[in-house]
Amino acid sequence: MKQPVPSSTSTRERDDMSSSPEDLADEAVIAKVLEGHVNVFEVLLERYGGYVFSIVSRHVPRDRVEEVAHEAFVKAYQSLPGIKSPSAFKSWLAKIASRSCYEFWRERRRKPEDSITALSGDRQEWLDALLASRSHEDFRRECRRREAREVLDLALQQLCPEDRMVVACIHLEGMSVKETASLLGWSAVTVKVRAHRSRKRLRRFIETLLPQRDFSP
Amino acid sequence: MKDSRKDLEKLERALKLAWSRRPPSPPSRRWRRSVMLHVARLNAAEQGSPGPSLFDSTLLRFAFVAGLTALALLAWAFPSDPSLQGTVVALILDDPVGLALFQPMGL
Repeated sequence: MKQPVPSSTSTRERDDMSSSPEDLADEAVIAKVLEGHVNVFEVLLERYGGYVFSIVSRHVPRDRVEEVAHEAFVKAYQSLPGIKSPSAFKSWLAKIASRSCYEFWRERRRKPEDSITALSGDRQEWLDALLASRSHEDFRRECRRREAREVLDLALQQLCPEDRMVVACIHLEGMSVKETASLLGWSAVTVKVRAHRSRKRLRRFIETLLPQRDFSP
Repeated sequence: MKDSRKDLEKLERALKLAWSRRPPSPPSRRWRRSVMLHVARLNAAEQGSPGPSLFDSTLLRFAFVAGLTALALLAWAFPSDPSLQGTVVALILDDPVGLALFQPMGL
């Protein structure tokens, strides 16, 4: 990254220069960034910005998505010299994005701001409507409601950042233990233990929401 | 008890669906620009220069030179004011001071 741009270029490099950076493969774009053409990094931003947003927006609150995605790309830029397989840039970036989300929750845990500990009226109403839903369509409509996500966020808040990421990856995203371990950089055993423990904890919390209801006919 | 178990399953399924249903907001141009600015600054810091982002506009460069000229003229007009002269010298000779003065102004 720090190397100066060579003054004399080879034929291949001239060919690369003549084609638009947008047309280049990831490997070529990365090579250019590492040669010192920092502005070419924007091609990766345009190409994978949406992808990183889609990962990050699942894990962090909506109003923090831009900030965490920003962090992820800056980390990617800083780690670019160490990338082992530039052709697998997308999965490498996904790891960085997921770890940035994990860092976000660790940071948040250190400085808790607005912690919600109970169901608000709206969420309680959502829960009632969900449990009363008879048809498949009713059920889907309730799942689409904003309160559904808020109740889920409330449930996830009960977990530590590590458990939260494991639950999100394995139980909500449907990833395998191996994939999650690779994504978060932990051992498979750690992931397995955390997955089991956190699922139990989450289930216990969700169960506490239910007795508030009156099951009598 | 049976109802409760069914409700729990229903609730778990709903929360799982809620997870997958959050629509991602697309990255904006403003966001891309802010990341690129950050990257350019990091790159500039690595190379030890103040960075292209601060002085990449001709207008800004012109304003900077005009400001320095005005200060130099003032220093020349009031040679007895040491603090003014000190500021001019610092601005001309010591780039970081210039940056520290101009950066908070959003330049």
